[in-house]
Amino acid sequence: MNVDVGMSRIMKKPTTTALLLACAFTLLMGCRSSSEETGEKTGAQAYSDTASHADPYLEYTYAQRRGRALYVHYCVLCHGPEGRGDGLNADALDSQPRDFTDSTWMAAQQDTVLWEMIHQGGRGGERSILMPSYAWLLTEDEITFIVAYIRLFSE
Amino acid sequence: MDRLYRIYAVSSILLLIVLVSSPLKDHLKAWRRIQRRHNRTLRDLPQRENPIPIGLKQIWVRDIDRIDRCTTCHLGMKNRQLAGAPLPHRTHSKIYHDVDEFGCTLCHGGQGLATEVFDAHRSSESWEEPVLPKRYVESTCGRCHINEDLKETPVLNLGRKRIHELKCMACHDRPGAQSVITPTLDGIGSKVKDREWIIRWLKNPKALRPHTRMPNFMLTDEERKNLSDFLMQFIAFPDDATLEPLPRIYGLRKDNDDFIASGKTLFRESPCTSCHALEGQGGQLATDLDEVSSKARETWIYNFLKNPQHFQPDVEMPQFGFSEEDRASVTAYMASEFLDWDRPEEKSTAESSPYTVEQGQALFYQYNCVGCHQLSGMDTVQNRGPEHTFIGSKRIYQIWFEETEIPQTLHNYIDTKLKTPRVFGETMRMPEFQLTQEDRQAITCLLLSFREETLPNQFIKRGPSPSVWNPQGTMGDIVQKYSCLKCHPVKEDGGDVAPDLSIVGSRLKPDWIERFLREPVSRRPLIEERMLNLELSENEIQTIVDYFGSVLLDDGLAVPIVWRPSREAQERGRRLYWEAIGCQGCHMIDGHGGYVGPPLDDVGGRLQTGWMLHWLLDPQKYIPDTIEPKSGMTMPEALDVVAYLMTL
Repeated sequence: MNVDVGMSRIMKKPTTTALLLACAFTLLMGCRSSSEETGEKTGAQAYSDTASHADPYLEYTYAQRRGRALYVHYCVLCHGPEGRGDGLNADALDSQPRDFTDSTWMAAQQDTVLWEMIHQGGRGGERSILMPSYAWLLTEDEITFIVAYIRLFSE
Repeated sequence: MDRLYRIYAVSSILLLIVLVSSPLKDHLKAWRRIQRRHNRTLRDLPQRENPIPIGLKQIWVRDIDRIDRCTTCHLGMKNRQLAGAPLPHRTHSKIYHDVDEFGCTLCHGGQGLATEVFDAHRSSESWEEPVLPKRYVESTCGRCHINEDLKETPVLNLGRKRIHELKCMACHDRPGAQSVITPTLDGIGSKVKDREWIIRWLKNPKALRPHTRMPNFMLTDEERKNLSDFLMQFIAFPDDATLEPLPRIYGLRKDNDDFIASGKTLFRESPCTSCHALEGQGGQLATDLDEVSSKARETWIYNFLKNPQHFQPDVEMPQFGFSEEDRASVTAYMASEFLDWDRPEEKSTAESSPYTVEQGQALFYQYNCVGCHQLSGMDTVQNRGPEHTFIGSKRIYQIWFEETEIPQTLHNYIDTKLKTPRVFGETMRMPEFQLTQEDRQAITCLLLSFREETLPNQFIKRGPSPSVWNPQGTMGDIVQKYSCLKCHPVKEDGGDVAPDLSIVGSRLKPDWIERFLREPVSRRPLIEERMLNLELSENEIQTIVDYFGSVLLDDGLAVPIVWRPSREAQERGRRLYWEAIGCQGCHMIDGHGGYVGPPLDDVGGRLQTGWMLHWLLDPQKYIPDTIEPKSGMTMPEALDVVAYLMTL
């Protein structure tokens, strides 16, 4: 009835049509999000703007970094800088220090086993007493850090 | 009227759409999605937990007026079960401060008020400080723990050490910088054989001496010649010191093989390589001695050995008590052996003239050589670089990135500058230090911690200021002459390569000290640096032993009772040593045992009993970073072990 007539009459008025189109256009603009903006604001770029460097040391977690500092100070003379058990002191020992690059052996040990070994020394795992007990020297967290670090040798 | 109704209807529908779109956008926000995902993760855990109510979460730290909304997404921070979950649900690694008292952004940077991931983590035009990359996170520890070397901040500690060794304060002022001894260039014209050596050195210092700290200034050939012309003008030594002529015996016997051989023996036994490295082997406390005779004239070497401080005031080389003949033989040995055999014969032919000297002086000023090298007449003009006092607070608009492609943040700028200093412009003067990546990371971390701080005082915790040990009288003269503090720490002053002498009178027996000072025999297998054979006079030895025995003591280590251990105690101690504790892992007795600690062959005659006892009970009490583990032995066990050691 009046509807068709009404609508066609509106459409004939250029200013109203223009206004309506303008509103619709603005609304659509507001909802727009270009893919490039999305990419930058939600992808991996959203978190960090520095590319990863070649040196894996820079990507260590805090635990691994602390563990490395402790290992280099206390462990490296017997266990070697790469964890192979070939430190400067290794020749002088009756039983050889553990090789941490042995991935099969390392995978078979739980973190708690390694932790106890450092905490109680050789006695902790029924091994040679030449591995001292660090229970009195290192805190529990520090031993956890060292375990986190030596895991890296077998990766 | 119908038309009006139509317009009204259409515009109402449009308005409704607009009204609905705003709460819809809020409902579809990323953080809500993350929180719902977190709740799903909690539900699937082995130990099921209650879901967290959905909503914005924040930490409001009133003391520093910060509001951090990081916990809106990082919900699993304190939940131990989520240690292996992906970010942002993961547990936070061990934190040393209460999060509710410090917030998150104080330590990590970033925009705490933001709830969108980009706005919170990245730098933009409206918020310059991004979340710090993991490798620089210790820099914020340094904001409050100023000059304090904590064991929890290994990267920061390394940065402090390197920045001191590399003498960055020669050009850049920074807080807490301690001045270091700078070699003077006065008299260099009389010291070197000719300007060729200076020209070669300036081309690439590390190529000639691997352990040098002098960086590469990347000068052109002409600049190097001009600078060497300028330096060769300085023929007067400081304080009017003059070079004595070489003794007659030198002229007579310098080509004699036996003379040279005796010089070589003295060189080996002093031992000079304890401080000076040769061909990469030896200590790094002093300059490398490779090719030193291609550099310096024999007269200079002889005179320097006689009295180092005469020609280089404040140098730490001790004055060896050589006789004239001995000194001449060492000089002859060095003159015959420490030459550059591959040296190219052709010399640069460019003439020196007042013009080139003036050009050299301009270069000396341009590169601020006087920051490291004293030179009379040039000390008053310094051409320093920018201050580092607040470099961690530098704004991006203050940095000129030239045309480099690096992301424009402060930490990227500092790191790139340390790697390739002159990439940011042609007028840059900073030399190249050829640092390893680890050193660069440590120094960047430290520089980022120098900020213009607006934190309240209760947050700031300054480290101890350096102490100075300055004995007076005869002992003071001895310490000055022989530079004991170069290697030995005493009362928290001094070097760190030799044993601490703060309580040496309570640690070592006086007879042993006397024998040792007469003829030092190195005890420790693994160390490069050895005690020097200084040829002390009897008076000097007596003064030192008396001083140690009466001043450098710890009364807590005296054993008040006269104690004669029984045979059973000695036997128990022996079994403890070899079978229970396993001391032979690190210590050698009669050639059997490890290399880590000093051999214990005559420890009964060397160490005081009280010291042995207290050391075994708690080594870290006396030397905090010693490798010897505290073994947890009880007092009776310790007494038994000491009884055994006293028999050795």
